Amino acid sequence: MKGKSKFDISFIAFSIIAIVAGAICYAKGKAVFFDGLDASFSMMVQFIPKLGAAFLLAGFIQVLIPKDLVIHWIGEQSGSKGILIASLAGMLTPGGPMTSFPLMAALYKMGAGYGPLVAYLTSWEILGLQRLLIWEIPFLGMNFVFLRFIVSFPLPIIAGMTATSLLPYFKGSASVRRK
Amino acid sequence: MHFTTPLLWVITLILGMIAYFHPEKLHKQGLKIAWEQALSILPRMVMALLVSGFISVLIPTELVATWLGKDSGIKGILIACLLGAVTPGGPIISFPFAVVLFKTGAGVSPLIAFLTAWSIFAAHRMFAYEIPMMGLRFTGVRILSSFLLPPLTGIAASIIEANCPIGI
Repeated sequence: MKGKSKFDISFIAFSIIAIVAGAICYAKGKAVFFDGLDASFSMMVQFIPKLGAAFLLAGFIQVLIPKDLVIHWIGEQSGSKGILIASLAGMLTPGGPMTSFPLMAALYKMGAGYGPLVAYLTSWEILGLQRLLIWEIPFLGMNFVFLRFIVSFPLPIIAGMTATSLLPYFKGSASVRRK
Repeated sequence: MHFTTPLLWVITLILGMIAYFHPEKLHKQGLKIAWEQALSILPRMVMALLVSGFISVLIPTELVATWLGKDSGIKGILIACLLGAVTPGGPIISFPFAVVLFKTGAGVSPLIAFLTAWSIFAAHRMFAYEIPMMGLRFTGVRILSSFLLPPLTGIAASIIEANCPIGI
């Protein structure tokens, strides 16, 4: 997802789907087609001003929260403290899977346990600030995000604790895999 | 919802100032990241919204309201979880889809369950990143530890919504 690939395969795929969906609407009648177009434009008008801020915000967060800090935070912490710290770190880890997974693999090799790692990944997935800012707030609004955040906040901790207690039932050594 | 845009811009400005006054002048790098991301996402976003608009008039609203509506209860939350788990692709697909569902009558709690399920089970991420980098055992433990979470979020959200409506 570098700047070069602005008209990549997924853009082409979306364009084709747009044409097909538009054609189906048109086949159902001109009014349906223009209703659809109207819905699209009203969404664009609604979302794009927020997206401008969201992109900038994500950029600043990415430079202000260095990756090393996250590694340093979780490090070799274990137990409930490790799970708690990992949940916070996951929330703050900016970037897509290209950032979070190499980071997790590094933590894995450093000796972080399953509990903190599961908590970290779950937290990054469901509470990740960057996705919240770029996608969820512009698309679904502050109140929605607020409610979702409240109900999801404890989940990474639950997942991490569950992972720790499940581990003994899995075959193989409980220590991390070292390449 | 109307104060979302100004609030976002105020936070952006504050973080921008912090980056600007940072000894390493981080704002330039931040602006560059933002610009690259905008260039990469915006064209696809425009197309995705075009698709969403058309699909929102094609989807029968009675169907969405019946299966995922405000009063769909536990059934709606579970269906939303399944839907989220099988939704392929990244946020460029799931969020416009969530908006379409919302506009065609889906309730807030099912939508929350949908997004949580999609976040936890996102198949593309599991196969492209998690299994190759962390191994099957880790992925298995993680899925077992978190597969109950999406319905839980939906149920918790519906309880909160019923007791203190926050006007979504």
